[in-house]
Amino acid sequence: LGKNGSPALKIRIKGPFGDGKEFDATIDTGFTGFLSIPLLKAIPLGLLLYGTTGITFADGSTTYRLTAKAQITVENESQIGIAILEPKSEDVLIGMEFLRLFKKAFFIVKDGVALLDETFIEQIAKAAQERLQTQESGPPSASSATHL
Amino acid sequence: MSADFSISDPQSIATRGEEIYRTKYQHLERENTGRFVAIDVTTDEAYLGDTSERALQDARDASPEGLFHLIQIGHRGAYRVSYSLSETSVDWIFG
Repeated sequence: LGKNGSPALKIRIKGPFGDGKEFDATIDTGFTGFLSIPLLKAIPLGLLLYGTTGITFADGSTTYRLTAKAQITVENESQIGIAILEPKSEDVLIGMEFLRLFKKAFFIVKDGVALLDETFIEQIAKAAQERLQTQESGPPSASSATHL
Repeated sequence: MSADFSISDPQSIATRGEEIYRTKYQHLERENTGRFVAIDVTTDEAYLGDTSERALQDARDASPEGLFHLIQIGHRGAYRVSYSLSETSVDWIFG
């Protein structure tokens, strides 16, 4: 968990050149995008600018932001997505698009965050379903055996 | 080429992108709600994609020098954030 108690993750952000830089990013499931990064932190990374986009705030108001192409690396996995450049914010945020592109599900536990592969979650769900079905169509009970 | 745009004036890029969308591409809403469109404000061309990164990458491939305004079709903003306008000063720091 990050300094403010929010779920956080160490990520490396890079543009087309250089090795990029490591950041502590807050996982924000209320953010539908890939990455939101303060403009002043993005400039030294040399992210390739795309242009602009509209974003809608929690109160329903809408404004515009610059967008850029960014690569995020987490441990040995990398994905390229769209970064929203925030003019005044100080926080690096990763959102639902990040989880979709990395094919991850995340769990918050007492003192940390676990990022798990979606395929692993699907395997667990499938195994649980099979176990449930086995229990439902299990061996006959003692009373039904007597009846037979 | 419609006009000269500078990345130092993002408000003009966004305004022009919205204007092009309203006049030339709003019909896309009939069958493409939820998809993304990247509008090149320098050429008025639009690039559709199921995801925002697909639309922008196709746009960049087709127009390497383009400046793009990204719209999610049928939505006010392409992205939603969890904080509100009052929590942060959001004025452009440019021009």
